[in-house]
Amino acid sequence: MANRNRRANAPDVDNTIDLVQVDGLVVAKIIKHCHEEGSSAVDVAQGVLLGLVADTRLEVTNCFPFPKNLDENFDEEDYQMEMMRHLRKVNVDHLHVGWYQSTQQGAFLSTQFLESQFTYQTSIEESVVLIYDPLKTKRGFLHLKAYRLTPQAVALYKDNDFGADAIKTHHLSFESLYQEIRLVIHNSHLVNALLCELSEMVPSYEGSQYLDLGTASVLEKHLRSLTDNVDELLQDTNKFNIYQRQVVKQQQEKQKYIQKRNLENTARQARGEAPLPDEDITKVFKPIPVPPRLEPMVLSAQIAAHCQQVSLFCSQALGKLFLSEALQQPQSSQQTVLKGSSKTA
Amino acid sequence: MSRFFGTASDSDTESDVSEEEVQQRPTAVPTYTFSDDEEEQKRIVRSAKEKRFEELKDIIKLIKNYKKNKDLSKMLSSFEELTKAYQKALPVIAKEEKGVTPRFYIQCLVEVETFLNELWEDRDGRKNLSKNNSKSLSTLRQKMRKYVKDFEADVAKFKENPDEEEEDEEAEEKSEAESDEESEAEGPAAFRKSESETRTKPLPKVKPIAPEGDDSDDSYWDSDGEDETSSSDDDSKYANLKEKFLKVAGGDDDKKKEKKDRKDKEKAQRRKDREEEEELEMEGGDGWQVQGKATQAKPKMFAKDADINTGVVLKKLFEILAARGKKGTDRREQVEMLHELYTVSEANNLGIGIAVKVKFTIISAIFDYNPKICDAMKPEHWEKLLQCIAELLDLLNSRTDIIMGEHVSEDHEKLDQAEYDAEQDPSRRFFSVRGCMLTTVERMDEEFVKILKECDAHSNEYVERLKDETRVSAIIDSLQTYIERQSLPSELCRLYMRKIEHMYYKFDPNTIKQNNGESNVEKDTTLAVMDRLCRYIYVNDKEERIRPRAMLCHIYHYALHDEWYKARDLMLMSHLQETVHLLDPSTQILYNRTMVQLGLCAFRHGHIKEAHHALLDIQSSGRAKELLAQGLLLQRQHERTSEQEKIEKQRQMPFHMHINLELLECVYLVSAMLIEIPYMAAHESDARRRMISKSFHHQLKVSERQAVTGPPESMREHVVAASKAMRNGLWKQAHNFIINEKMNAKVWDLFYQADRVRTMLVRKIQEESLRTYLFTHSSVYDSLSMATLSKMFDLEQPTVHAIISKMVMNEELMASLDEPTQSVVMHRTEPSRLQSMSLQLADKLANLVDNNERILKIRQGPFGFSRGNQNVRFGDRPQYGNRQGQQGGGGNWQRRGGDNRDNRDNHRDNRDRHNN
Repeated sequence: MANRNRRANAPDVDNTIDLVQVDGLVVAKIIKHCHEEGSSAVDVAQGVLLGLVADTRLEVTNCFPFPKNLDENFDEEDYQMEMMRHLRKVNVDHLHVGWYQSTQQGAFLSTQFLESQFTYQTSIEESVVLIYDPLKTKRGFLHLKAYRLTPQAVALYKDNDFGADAIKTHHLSFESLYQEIRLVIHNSHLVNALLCELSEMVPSYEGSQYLDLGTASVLEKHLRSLTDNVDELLQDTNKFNIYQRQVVKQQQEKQKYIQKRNLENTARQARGEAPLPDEDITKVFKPIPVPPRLEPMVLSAQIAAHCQQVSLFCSQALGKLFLSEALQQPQSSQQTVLKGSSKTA
Repeated sequence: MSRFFGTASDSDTESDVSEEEVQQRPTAVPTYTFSDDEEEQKRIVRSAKEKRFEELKDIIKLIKNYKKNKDLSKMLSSFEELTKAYQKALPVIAKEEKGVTPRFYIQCLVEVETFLNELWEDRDGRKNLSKNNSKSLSTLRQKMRKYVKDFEADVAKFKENPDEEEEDEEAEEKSEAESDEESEAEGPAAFRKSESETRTKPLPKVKPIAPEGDDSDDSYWDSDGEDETSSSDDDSKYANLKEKFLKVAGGDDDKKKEKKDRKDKEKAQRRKDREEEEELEMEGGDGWQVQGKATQAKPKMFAKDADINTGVVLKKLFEILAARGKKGTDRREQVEMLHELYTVSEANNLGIGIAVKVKFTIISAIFDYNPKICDAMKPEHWEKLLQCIAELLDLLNSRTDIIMGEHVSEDHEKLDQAEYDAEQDPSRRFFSVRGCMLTTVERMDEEFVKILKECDAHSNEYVERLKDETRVSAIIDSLQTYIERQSLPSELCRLYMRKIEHMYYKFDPNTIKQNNGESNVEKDTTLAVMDRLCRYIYVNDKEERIRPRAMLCHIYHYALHDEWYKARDLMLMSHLQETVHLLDPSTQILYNRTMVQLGLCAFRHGHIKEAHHALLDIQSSGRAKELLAQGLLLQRQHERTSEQEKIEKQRQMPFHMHINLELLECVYLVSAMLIEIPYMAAHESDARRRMISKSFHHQLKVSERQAVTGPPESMREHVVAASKAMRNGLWKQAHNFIINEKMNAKVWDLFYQADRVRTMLVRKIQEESLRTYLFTHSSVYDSLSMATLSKMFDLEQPTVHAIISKMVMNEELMASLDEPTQSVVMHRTEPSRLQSMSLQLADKLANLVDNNERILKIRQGPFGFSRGNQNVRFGDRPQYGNRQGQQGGGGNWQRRGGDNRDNRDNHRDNRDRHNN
């Protein structure tokens, strides 16, 4: 069930890791944890990935969850170190290679997310983040993806300056904020054999979720989060707009001021007096702080991701609808549903 | 020691019964506290008169000195002081000396006058005087002349016979100076003082005295060989001890005699006999004897043979009053004394004037008993107070010729029966007494509220106290008859307000019966009374405080009796909503109470919206308890200071006036449900939907958060469950949730005509469920039969028709009515949820694109782009230099080019997104 959905890498992408190979055990553990803790809308389940780097391939061989602890005294780092020490004792790979997180409808992107991935990538170069969507999996599509920040994004974070100019100099746009890494699920032969055996035992009606036609609710959810994101983006653009206007206004004033100064100076020269000292013009006109552009960029990336997901979902749903239409041809009573979904597609 | 024996014996040789009697009475305690006597002798207890006189005498002494030194300027100032002091002393003189100027004063005046005249005559001498002195002399002489004119008669009298009087006066002075005892003996105030002192000292104080006696008089004890070493302070023990003393002391003749005297005195005094005076005289100048008597005597009122007339009683009264408010004054004692004075004056038939005066003083003394204003009175005092006030009012009402009021000044009081009888002119035949009955009753009312608040509201005690409410009301009523006779509008307004405040929260079932024509119309209902009183206040109230209160009470009363329209109109006319925040807190509380009552009334009448509006303010804050002053809320943010807490406690309503908070909340939630549920159904997909009732939503959310919802328990859960059922159009379920046994017991049975309210409620639930159903499910139907609908919701077809028509009219429902088939035909114009969301998204995206365009416009504008960029760089320059090292202008150019390109990229991106 490897996810084959891949993106063409941008030309200037680093090649430290180009494939993530995840053990079946890890996938099972992540799924278990996320379904237990991350299935409600508010909570997010997170955990640590353990594994090894082999050439440009990252093998994730084990993982453990972060405990949900509201206790303030709880030291997460201590816990992690402890865990890793214990795992080492039982001869499990104990190298920290990243983390995983559950998500709702793919809405995982945020500044915090990027920040934590940045810290991971700066301390452990090869680290990746696995994103798992329990809702989609429930509907029959295993949704597990690996992401890394692009080198530009890392550089931007290193500078810690998110103004428009800085983003420009790093040639960064919302598309090149992060990259998806190909993910392969790997199982040992023994497990494969067991799976083969199990697949025979699964009753035939299981796995029919593929044909789930509940299009409207999924689309609605996506639309809702899209609307929210667009709203926020709108606010950000508004802020930027205001900033621009202020800058222009200040610029005009500055121009006037300089002109006046020049006139005065020439007049003084004509009278044979010393010109006025050059005052620091920045003191007279304090530069207006540039609103950070990271937030809108993240929002744009999130919107783009949503759009991608919607289009993907719609293409699948359309296929299913055509299929079901063919099945129901004699009755042909599914008109309304078709109409609704085709509109959004 | 001797004193010790004396008292011990006298309390003992009496019969045992009387002895015990004395002991039981708290005032008898002083019998044992002899050691205080010495201390008391040192104490100078001065009456007002003495104080003033001393002051005068001091000044006179000074003047005499100056006279000797011929220091006229100082004499002038002293003389001025003297006149002032005399002015101050005047009331005392008028009271105690019956207006006769004291002789020493006159003497001084005469002396000074003659001295001045001599000086004046002596021209040579005058010339020798210093400038200052001569000036003073002339002014002093002029002043003197003027001043002496006032005392002409006295002066003449004095000049006639100066020597004799001088002697007389000297004697008087001497006596006054030498012995406090005498003055104390005549001054009951002093008596009481010493007594109170002894009384306030707790009994155990006696204990150390006995051993002291032991030490000093060992021989006695030894010879007797008693077991008095046990220092028990038991009363009986003491009685024993005294017997021992008595035995030993018995040998001493003198003492015995004294004892006898004292015993007699005691007896006499206990019987209110007035022989004491004589006995006192017989005893002669035996100083300590008198003193001892002072300590143990119960306040004796008057000498036996004293002629008890108005003047004497009044004097006594003033004496008692003079001690009022002083430290160490025993307040209970004062009350008792006044009571006694009252009985005395009654016994001597001094007339109603005195009776009223004394009664009034008793009442204020009872008020005084409690020194702290925030504490409630003790029940026994309260009983006494009620009784006194009722009696006083009876007195006042029984006669028409008593004038009592604040306007009567103390000097113009007419209390004397004789004077009254002597008055020929019938129009001037009246008693006038100073004092305000209204204020007294108001104070009593406040005390009543305090007492109620003090009790635990769920105890029998509260019920007991609440029974006094009728008595309080009766007092107010009788005061009303009294004041109506005098008819002062401002006082009447105040009184009516009191009456209204006792009435407005009481429900009178007769009113509603009368409205329904069930009972006879002639009977005066509280509503009618209320109406009359309030109208009087509206017309006559000059202060702005009473009128709004009366209005609010009026509205409250209307609302309480289901007079919804009258109550509402009055509320709207009053315009109190706009000004209520400027009024005092207690009126604001009343306003809140009134609004709540109004809301409840609206609900009973089925005006759901109005009920919701009226209750919204109180209920939405979640502080209903505090707003209605029915209990203090715990505040987490900031602690109250104890001061604040006290104030807030004072504002609290007594329990019997509380409005049931659960009823209030239930009514609010149910009305919110009836409004909100259809509204929610109608605006499900509307992004800009606003909440009508926040607290209702809060309740809904709370129940949604629960993982498992069991059957409803509390009132809130019932309402929430009903709302959920209603949302699905299940009116029967909703009905069962709202109206069942539990809810009946908790809420609905509290209404006066509960069944009417219930039928109204069911009806509303049916209607609103129908509306909700149509809102939520109209998209599923092409057409709907009205007959089906009326069956589904158990409503008559015309009602269904009406509701649907209204919805169509208001454009809430896209449908039309098909008359021939009696059905509703839907028009499909509403977009589906997904569609409407897509539309919203499209709207927002359009906005976003607009904004982006605007950003670009500024950047690319003929003026903006290059300038804008320069500007940014200008500010950045120092940084830039640091980062890029030595790059010159060329780098700048390059960068600008880069910017340019980026911008274009940006623009392209934007386009792409737009196209998406």
